[in-house]
Amino acid sequence: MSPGAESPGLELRRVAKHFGATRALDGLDLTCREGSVTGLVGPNGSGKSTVLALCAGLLAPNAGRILLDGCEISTGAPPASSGFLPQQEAFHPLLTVREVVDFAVVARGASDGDRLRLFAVTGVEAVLERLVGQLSGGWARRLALFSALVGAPRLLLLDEPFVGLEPETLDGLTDHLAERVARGAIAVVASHDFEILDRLAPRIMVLEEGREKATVEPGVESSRVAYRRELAGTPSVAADERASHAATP
Amino acid sequence: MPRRREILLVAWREVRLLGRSRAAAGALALLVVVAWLPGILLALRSGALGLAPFTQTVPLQVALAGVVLPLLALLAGAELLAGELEDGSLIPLVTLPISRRACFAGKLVGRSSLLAAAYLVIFTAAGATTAIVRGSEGLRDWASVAGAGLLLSIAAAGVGVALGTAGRGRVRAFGTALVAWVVLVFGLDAALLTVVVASAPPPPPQVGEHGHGELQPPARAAASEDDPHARHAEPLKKRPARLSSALMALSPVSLFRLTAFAGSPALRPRLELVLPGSSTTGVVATLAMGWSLWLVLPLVHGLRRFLRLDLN
Repeated sequence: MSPGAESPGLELRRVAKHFGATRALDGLDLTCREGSVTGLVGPNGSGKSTVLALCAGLLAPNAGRILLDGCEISTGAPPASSGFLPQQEAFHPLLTVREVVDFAVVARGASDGDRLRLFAVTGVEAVLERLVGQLSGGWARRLALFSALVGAPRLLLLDEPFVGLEPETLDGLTDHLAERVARGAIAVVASHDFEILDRLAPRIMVLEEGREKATVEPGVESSRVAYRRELAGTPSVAADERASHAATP
Repeated sequence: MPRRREILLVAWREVRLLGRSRAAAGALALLVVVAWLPGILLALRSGALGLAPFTQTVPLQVALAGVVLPLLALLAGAELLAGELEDGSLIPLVTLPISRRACFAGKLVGRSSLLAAAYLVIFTAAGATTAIVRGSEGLRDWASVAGAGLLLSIAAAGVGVALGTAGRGRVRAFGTALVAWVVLVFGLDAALLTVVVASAPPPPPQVGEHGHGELQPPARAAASEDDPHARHAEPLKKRPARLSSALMALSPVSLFRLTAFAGSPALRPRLELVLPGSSTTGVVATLAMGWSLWLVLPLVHGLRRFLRLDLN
């Protein structure tokens, strides 16, 4: 890519994924530009987590292509600079928090400053000597956030990142995400927390049965309203407004 | 991050995990049993407490190691990826900038180097103790068995790793590993024995001293060109040898025995029983072909399967 040229970012082209007879994704198109947050909402089983796992190179698509800056992502060639937060974190229970932290820091080549910044956001330095198997759900979630965000990965794939966090941690996390996106990161966030998504994401894709149901802009209407309306199949506020403008002489 | 650093990072993680694993401690205890039990049992049989000399323990060591080592190695190999695939703890690893190739290699290097080091320490300790207590006669035979056992363990661990990448969970991986153990240790040996016996030349009819069809000493048979029995005996002798060699390469436990016999002065005569009429070059070729097959193919298959596997 030539200097100054706009990065193509993350692109999903006609991506399909089946698990046996179940169609998790069915020809999905999605483009996420550099320095943007895309929210994914939809009922359980709509394909949100599958989108993130495909982009992280954990799953192989049955059809279509996934590209980051024009380079194909596959299970054999996962993106080098991505941070993935799974819906359910699963670190090895026999490792200590310090070992998980050190492993992530070394693997990503993160600086001390970055480590300290993420300690401030997640607070995991308070439990460094504990075994992962002894952590509560909330602490395990914070550790997973640390592992996903440390080293300033360019592509952030976050599955329900706001669940199980205290309000202070939540504020720190949203500020951190906003700062990272302002510096050019691409964030794809699957969540049911509409208020935070409205604050973070200028664009929200509603998924249903592995397909794009609609893409809404929280600036026009709240994502919660849009989500309910789209799943109920009623026309959008924006569409209503456009229709009324067109009807006005 | 450079590939070598990724591999070392994962290998170090694996070593730490093994150090905390009860299953690994159990495996090491079994290795101690394999290394020490033959000497202790044989000494007890002769009414003494302590260790029997190498000349007595080596044959029993061959039999015991050929059964126990593949089982341990198959289970250790199957657990390498199956366990972490099942509980999802590989996901934080492969979503860092660590490729699946490096993850596979790192886990393999970490586990195999730790277990191989433990194996060498345990067997060296047992060998050194026996040499000090009962003298060093037969030490080379014993070392040959221990070295061949290490090769067998690595080959069986590779098969286990390949079985563990099916992504069907720990229990099924262990179940498949047990089936593989039965096939490798008993099934292939039985097949080998059947083929060798079936393809052996039928004994000629006994019609009396110097009469027609009498079994002649091999040297005389081979030397007399005019004798029709001598002309037929040579191809009949070579055919089962070639067949045995080919089958030997298909069974890692047979390869283990062959390697142990080849490296041991005391056990070398047994080679003639296993591969009758084989030259040294033939034996070396069989060993090289067989070990390269068993050490490389299962791991390559396992890696290919792991690279394509859906992790979720």
